[in-house]
Amino acid sequence: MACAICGTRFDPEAEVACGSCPMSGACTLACCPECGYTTVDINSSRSAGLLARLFPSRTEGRPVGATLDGATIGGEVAIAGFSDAMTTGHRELLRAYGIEPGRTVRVEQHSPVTVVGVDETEIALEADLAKLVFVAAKP
Amino acid sequence: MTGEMPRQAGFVALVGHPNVGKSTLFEALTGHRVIAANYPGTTVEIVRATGRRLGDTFIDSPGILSFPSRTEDEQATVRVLLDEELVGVLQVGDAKNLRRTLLLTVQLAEMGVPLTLALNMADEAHDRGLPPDSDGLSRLLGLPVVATTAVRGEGIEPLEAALRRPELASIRVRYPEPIEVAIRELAKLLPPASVRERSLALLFLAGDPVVEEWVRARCDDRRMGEAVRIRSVAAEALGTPLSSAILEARFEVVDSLVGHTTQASAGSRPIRKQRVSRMTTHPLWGLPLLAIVLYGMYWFVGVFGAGTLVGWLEGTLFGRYINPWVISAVGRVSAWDWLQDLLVGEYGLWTMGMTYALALILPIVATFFFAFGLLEDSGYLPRLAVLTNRIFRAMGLNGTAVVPMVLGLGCVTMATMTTRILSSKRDRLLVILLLSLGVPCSAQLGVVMGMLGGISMTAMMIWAGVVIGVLVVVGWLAARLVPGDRSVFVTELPPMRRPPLRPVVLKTVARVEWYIREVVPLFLIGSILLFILDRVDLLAWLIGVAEPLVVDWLKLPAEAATAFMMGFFRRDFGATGLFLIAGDGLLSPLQMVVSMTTITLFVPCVASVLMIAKERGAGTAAAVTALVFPLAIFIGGLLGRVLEFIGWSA
Repeated sequence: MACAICGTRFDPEAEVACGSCPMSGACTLACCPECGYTTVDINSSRSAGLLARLFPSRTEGRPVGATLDGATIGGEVAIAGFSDAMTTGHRELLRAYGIEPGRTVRVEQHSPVTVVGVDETEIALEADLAKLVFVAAKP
Repeated sequence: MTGEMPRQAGFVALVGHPNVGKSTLFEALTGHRVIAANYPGTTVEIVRATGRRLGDTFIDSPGILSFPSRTEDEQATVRVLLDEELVGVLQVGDAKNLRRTLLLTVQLAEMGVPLTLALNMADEAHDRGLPPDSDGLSRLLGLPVVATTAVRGEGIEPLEAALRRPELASIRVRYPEPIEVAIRELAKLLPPASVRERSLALLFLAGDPVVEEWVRARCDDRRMGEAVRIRSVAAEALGTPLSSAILEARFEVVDSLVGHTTQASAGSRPIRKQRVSRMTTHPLWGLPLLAIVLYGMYWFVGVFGAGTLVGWLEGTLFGRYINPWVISAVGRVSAWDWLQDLLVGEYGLWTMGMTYALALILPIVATFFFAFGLLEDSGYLPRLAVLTNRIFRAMGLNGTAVVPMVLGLGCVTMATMTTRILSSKRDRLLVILLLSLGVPCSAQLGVVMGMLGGISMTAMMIWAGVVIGVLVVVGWLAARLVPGDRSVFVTELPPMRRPPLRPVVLKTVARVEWYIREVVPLFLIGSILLFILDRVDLLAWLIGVAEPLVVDWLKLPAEAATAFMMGFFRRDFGATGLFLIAGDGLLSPLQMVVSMTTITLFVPCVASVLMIAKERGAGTAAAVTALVFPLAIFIGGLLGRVLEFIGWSA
């Protein structure tokens, strides 16, 4: 799980931040070990899990920092890396298409999906994936 | 170091990324026509043919992005490389995307098969100010490298000359030490293959599913267990997925190679087609452009094909000249009533089977395939995937599903095969279900347009709205019932091109020929079956059985039961029957909408059910059939009641 405030990744099962809390036994909240921010652990809470599945968050899993889905249209950005939340298969697929750390891509549009120019090819990818690609200003 | 191989005639596989012109080059080398188009995934099956000037047998394989393989069509390519005794591999690469091309070259070079590289679409590379540096690359790689523009037949002779002297590439990739150790250990353990031990070991380490299966089939449990252990040890030592580390090492070599070519120093220049390309996927301009494309198709197929051409062929040529002549000729030569009935009766081989196939279906499929050929060669289909991604997302799929769905408008049987380009079993199953349920093939679409277009635009909209609504609801429900996660949408958008007329016409002719070969025998079998059922009075009995459903539930005249019986063989066959009943004035506008909607939701045809059984197993085919027919009848009856309730008349 990643803290929505500071981005620290931690295991909610470990209960590192709230072990001292008297309610920690049946509690389905998780506290960030770095900043103490409280987040609902949707794997533990059935009702919150059901709600989360019915109304999926558009920002859930979004890594902290600049990501490809937010890059300025018409500009060029350097790929800085991939979020840990991205599967190895997706990571390798993007790399095979030329979207890989260190490379510069042209951002062409974000709606209905993100389209980037890589070398002489255009690659279309959904926001779900584009939000897991870190970008930085073109060197 | 390069080593020239002794050259004898044998099998040469064409391997390359999707949509780089492998099938076009295959045709140029062999003269054997395969359907090629401007979107990834046109080739989903292996095709073989003998070279025109070379004695080799060329194998056209589906496109592969990189190893390990991800989709079923990519896996077919890995099987070719593993199982065929190849004398050479012809890599077809995109001349303007050198980096990606060389990533695959490095992987093919590792396999130790004599290799030739064709830098295809050289014209596009020139247009963008990136002329291919064939000689420089040839020296760097130690391979014959030829620039080609297959669609214009340019560079084919030099390529054939190069194919006579393929060479083993001089590229070697150095991987991190844990991987090198694992390669050495696996080389002693894995069975011999047609590719180098090092390459086989790398594919196994990267987790290629075909190689995994191949090794499992040839190793006992102990050796397999040991191989898996070696892989785990390497992964643990590296701390990153092995496939990523392998890709990383290859990219280092590729970057170094690209840096040494003159193409790397040339700056790309934008071209006008890129602006058109952007408009087609633009959130604002994309939809009006899509509406224009759809209207153009409707006019060409629905108005011109199903209206003008069918009217002339069925009404004038067959109705006034051919059929009366055939009926009188049969009457003169045959003394037996049953034979006359079989040939030119109500369910006659000529008057029903051939007239349906040639006068009603042929003009519709021909115009559809021509319009579809223009669309696919222009590169519009992947852009349609971008535009429709949100709709497919609601059905638990992604925009890639639009390719088989649109192909299904041509022929559902063909489209069922194309589901192999989808990356997961779940997606393939969902698309097959939707194709079987509500994607009308061109023949049926034409009949629908001809019949409902004649009533009103509202009738067409009700039909389309119900069919699309059923597709979305069933897709939404099925996506929640079928286990597995939705695949995220990633696709390459090939360049927009002006569709060349000759290939489009040739492709249309080839598809029409294929369609007639499939449709005419089925129409004739359908006619014979109906004729026999009619002669032994079983048809009346079957219609009697179907009547409660047709008359009481669907509220259609009893005559429509015959058309629905025909619809079990092919739904366009049934739709044509309904079209003729409507022509006799037996159906009201409401009944026309209900009957057309019901038959559109039928399983497409016997051939498509057989294709589902071939692709996904008999169980899936039976389950799809058992679900679709009752659902179609249920929706039809429900629609009739709703339309009656709101008082819709036309």
